[in-house]
Amino acid sequence: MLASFLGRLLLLAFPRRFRDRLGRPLVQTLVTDSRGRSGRIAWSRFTAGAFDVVRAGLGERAGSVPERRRRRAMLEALWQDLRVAGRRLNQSRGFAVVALLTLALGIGANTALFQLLEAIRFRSLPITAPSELAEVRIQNFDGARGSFSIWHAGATNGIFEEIRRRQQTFSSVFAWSTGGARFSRDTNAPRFVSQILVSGAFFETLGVQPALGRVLTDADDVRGCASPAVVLGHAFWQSEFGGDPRVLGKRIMLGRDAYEIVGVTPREFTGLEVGRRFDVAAPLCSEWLPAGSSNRLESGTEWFLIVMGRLKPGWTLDRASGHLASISPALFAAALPANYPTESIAGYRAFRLEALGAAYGVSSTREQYAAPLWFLQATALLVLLVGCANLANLMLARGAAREREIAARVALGASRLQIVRVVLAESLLLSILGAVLGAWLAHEISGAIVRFLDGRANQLYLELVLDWRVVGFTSFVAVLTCVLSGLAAAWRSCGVSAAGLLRSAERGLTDNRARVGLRRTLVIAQVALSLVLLAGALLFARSLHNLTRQDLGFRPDGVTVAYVDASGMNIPIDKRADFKEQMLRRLRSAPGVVAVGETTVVPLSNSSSDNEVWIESAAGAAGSPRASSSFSGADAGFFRTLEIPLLAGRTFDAALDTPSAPPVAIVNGAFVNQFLPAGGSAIGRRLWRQARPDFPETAYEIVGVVGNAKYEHLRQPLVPIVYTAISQRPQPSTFSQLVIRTTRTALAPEAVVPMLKGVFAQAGAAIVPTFQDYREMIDRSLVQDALLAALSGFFAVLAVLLATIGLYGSVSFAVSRRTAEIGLRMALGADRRGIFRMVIGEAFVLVAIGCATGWLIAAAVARMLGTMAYGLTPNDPATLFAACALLAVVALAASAMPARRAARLDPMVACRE
Amino acid sequence: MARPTEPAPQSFLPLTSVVFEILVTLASGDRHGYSILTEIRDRSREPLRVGSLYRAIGRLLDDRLIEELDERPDPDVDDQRRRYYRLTDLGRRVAAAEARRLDLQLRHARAARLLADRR
Repeated sequence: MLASFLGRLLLLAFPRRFRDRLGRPLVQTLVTDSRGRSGRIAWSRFTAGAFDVVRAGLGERAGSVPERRRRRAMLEALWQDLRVAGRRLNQSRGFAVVALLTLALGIGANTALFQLLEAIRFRSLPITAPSELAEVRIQNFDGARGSFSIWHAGATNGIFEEIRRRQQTFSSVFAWSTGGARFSRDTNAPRFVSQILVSGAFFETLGVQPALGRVLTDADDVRGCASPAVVLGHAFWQSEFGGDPRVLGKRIMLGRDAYEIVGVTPREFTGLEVGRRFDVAAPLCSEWLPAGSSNRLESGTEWFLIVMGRLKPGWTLDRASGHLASISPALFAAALPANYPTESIAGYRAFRLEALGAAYGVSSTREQYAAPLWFLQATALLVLLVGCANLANLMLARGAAREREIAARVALGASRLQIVRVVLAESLLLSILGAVLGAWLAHEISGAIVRFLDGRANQLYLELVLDWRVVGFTSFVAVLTCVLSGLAAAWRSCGVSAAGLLRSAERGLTDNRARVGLRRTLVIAQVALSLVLLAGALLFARSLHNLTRQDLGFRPDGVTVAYVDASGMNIPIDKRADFKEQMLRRLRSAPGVVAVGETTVVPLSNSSSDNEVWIESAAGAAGSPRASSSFSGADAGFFRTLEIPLLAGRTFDAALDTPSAPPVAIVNGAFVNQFLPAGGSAIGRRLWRQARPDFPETAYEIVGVVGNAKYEHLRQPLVPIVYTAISQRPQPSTFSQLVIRTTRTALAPEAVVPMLKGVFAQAGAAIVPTFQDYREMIDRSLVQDALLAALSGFFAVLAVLLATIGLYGSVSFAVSRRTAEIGLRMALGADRRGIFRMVIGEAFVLVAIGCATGWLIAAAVARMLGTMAYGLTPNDPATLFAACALLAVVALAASAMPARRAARLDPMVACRE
Repeated sequence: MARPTEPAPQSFLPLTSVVFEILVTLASGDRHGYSILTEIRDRSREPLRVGSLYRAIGRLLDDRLIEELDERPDPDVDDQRRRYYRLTDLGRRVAAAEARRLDLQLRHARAARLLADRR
C-alpha cells in the first residue's frame, strides 16, 4: 500500500540498527495513526507524521541516544572516580603532598626549559613569510682581513652594494648592523641605547608595518644622510616617551647628530636578533663612528653588516646559493678594497657567497645557550623519570596495602577494568593537579632563569609565551607520568588472586616475589639516574671552579674598566695627545686611584686582534717561520695596573716611544716559547708584522718580556701576545679603553664609579664614559657555565631527594610487610643489631647496584659532557667516586629510620601480625 | 560466579516525560506501539508523534526497561499482527522511582503554595 511504502522510505532516515529492530512497528503505527475515522489515510496527518519520523530518524543518527547516554554515564563515572580519588588522597595527605611536589617540580622544570628552548630555537620571526628570508654569507670566510666589529658580521658595505647591484635571486635585499648609540634628548644626560642600523629596504622587505607614523624607506637611506630619520622600538617608546603619540616629529640626539622621530615599530617586532631588542633603528647612511677611525661605509675592510634578502617565488636556498656562487668572482673582484694587504688578495678573490635560511633570525644567544639548554632539558627529563619511578613505587606500595579491599571488590564482581580505573583515577587526578601546579612553576622558573641570564649577561631579552606547543608539551609530560606511574601500579593490582589474599595465613609472612622485584628495580633505576645527575652536576661545579679560580696572569680585583668616548669634545687631531695626557694625569692624581693604564684589547672582554708575525734572524741566531700571534696596544700603566710582571727588558715609555721613533714591542712568555724556542735573550730581536689594511709590513724591536696573561676568554689557553705602544700610534683616537685600579682603603667600591664620573666631567663635559667592574665583567663571561652548574646542581639535588624519599618509602614498606618474618627471626634468636644490619644491608645492596649501573650510564654519556667541562677529563673518576660516596651516605640516612623501627619490634606482637 | 550487576534504578533518573508516560502506560499491562500512542495522547493531552515514540521505545529496549513480546493481533484496532511491549522488573522499579521523585517535587511545590492542596 502506498502509505506503508512511503513509510518504509521514510524509515531510511533512521540508522540501520534501529530500522532492523523497530522499523516494521513504526511504519505500522504511522499508517494506523494516519487513518481518519473513515479508515482511509488522511494525508495531512500522514505528512505531519512523516516529518516527525524523518526528524526523529536524523536525530537518532546524529547521536544515538544510547550512545550519548553511555558517554554521559562514563563521564559521570569518571567524575565519581576522581572525587573518590580526591577523598582518598586527602586521607593519605603525606603521600599526596610528596607525589604532587614530585610531579609539579618535574613537569615545571621540563616545561620551563622547553619554553626557553622554544623562545631561543623554535620561534620564527614575526615577519611576513619568514621561510622566504635568507641570509647571504661568505662560505670561506677564514682569512678575511680587516676589523670585525660585530659578532655575526658577514659583509662590508662595499660587498653589500655589489650584492645589491648584481644579485638575481632575491626580490629585495637589505643589510643591517647592531651596536650602541649615545642617546640624549633635550638637555638630559646622554646614555647608551641599543641601536640597529638598517638599509633602506629593511622594513619593506620584512613586511613590518609601523605601529605609529611610518618606517624607514629607501628615501631615508641616501648617501650623505642630510636630515636623518629614526624609528623607535615599541618598548623604548613606552619606557622613554611614555607611549606618547605626539612623539612623531620630535628630535633626539644620537651621537653627535640630530634625528627626527618618524615612527614606532609594532610591539612584536624586536629586530632580527633573537635574544636582543633594539631601542632605535637608524638608516645605514647615518653611520655613527668612534671618531678618528675611518668611515665604516667607505672602508672596504670594516666588516659590520649582515646581509639578508627575500627569495623570489620559486627560488630555493640551494638554487640561490648556486647563483650567488656564480656571481662571486666578479663581485669580489669589483669590491676588492685598494688598501687590502697584498698577500691576502687571492683569498679575497676566492670568496664564495651562499644563502642560508634565516626564518629564525640570527642569535648569539642561541649559539651561546642552545647546547646547555638542550643538555638541561635532557637532565630535567631524567629528573622527571626519577620522579615517575618514585610515584610508581609509592603507588605500588599503596596498591599492595589495599589488596584486601581490591580482593573484596573482585569477589563482589568488579571487572578488571573497574579495578584499573580506580587506581588510574588517582594517578590521573595527581597528574592534572601536578600539571596545573607545574605550569605555574614553569612560569616562575623560566622567568627566574631569564632574569639570571639577563643580570649576568648583556641585556638578554626573551619573550616567553605559553603557546600551543608549550601547553602541548606540558600535557604530554603530564599524561606520560600518569601512564607510567599509574599503569605500573594498576597492572599489579589486577594480578591479585582474591582467594589467596583473603587467607590471613599468607598475608604478612612473605612478600610476593614479583612485586618486590619491580619495586627494587625502580629503586635501583632511581639511584642510577641520581648518580648520573649528581656526577654531572659535580662535574660542572668543578669546571666552573676551575674556570673562576685559574690563574689569569693578572689581577682584576679592584680594577674598573672604563670605555671613554671623547669625540663630543671635538678636539683637533694635533691637540689630542696632549688632551689625553692631561686626562690620564687627572685620573692618576684622583683620590684612591693607584694606577691607570690604557689598552686597545681589554683582556677577557671577548675581543681580539691577531696577525701573522715572524722573527728576523740576527747574527748567529735563527729567525722563525711565520705564525699567527695575538696583538694588543698598551702603555706602561697597563702592565702596572693589572700587575702583569715584567720579566726582562723595559716597559713602554711615552717619552721614548713616540710616533716618530722606531716601533717597539713587548712580548709575553708564551711568545718567547713559541717564536724563540732556542733560548737566548729576546730583547733586541726584531719581529715583523704582516701587512694590514693601510699599513705595510712593519718591524718592531722587542724591548721587554712580560708574564703570560689570559687574552680573549677564560677557556682559551695562554697564547703568544705582542704588545705595541699606544703612544706610537700615528693618530690618537678619541675613544679609549682604560683600566683603573683603586684601593679599598681609600675608596669604597660603590664610590668608585661616581668618583671617576666626576673626574671625567672635570676633564670635559662632553666626555661620555662607561664603567664596568673588571671582576664582574669576567664573571659575566662565565654565565653559561654558571647556568649549567646552578641548574644541573638543582636538578641533581632534586633527583637525590626523590631517590631518598623513594628509598625510605621502599624500605619502610618492606619492613612493615615483613613484620611477621622479623618477629620470627627474633624469636629464633636474632638480636636487634642483626635485624638492623639486615635491613640496612639490603638497602645498601640496592644502592650499590644502582651506583654501578649509574657508573656505566655516566661513562656512556661522558663523551658528551666532556666537551662542556673545563680542565677535567670526561670520565673523571674522582667525580664519580664522590657522587657514589654521597649517595651511599644518603642511602644510610634513608634506611636508618625504618631499620631502627624493625630492630625495635616486639617479637610477640610481630609474630601475631 | 559473579553476576553482572543490574544498574540501580536511580541512575536512570530523571526520565524524560515521553519515557515516563510510556512506562506508566505499560505498567497497567502489555501494549503495542499504536495503543501506547493513543493512550498517551488521550491521557496527558501530549502531542506525541510516532517518530519520537519509537525513538523512546528504542532507548527503553536498549536499557532493558521494557522488552519485546511476540506479535499478536489486536482486535480493537484492525486485527493486524502487532508487536507488544512489556515492562520489565527494572522498568517497573525505575518508573516507581521516577514517580516518587515527581511526588516529592510536587509536595515541595504544594508547600510553596504553587498548587492547591488536594484533600
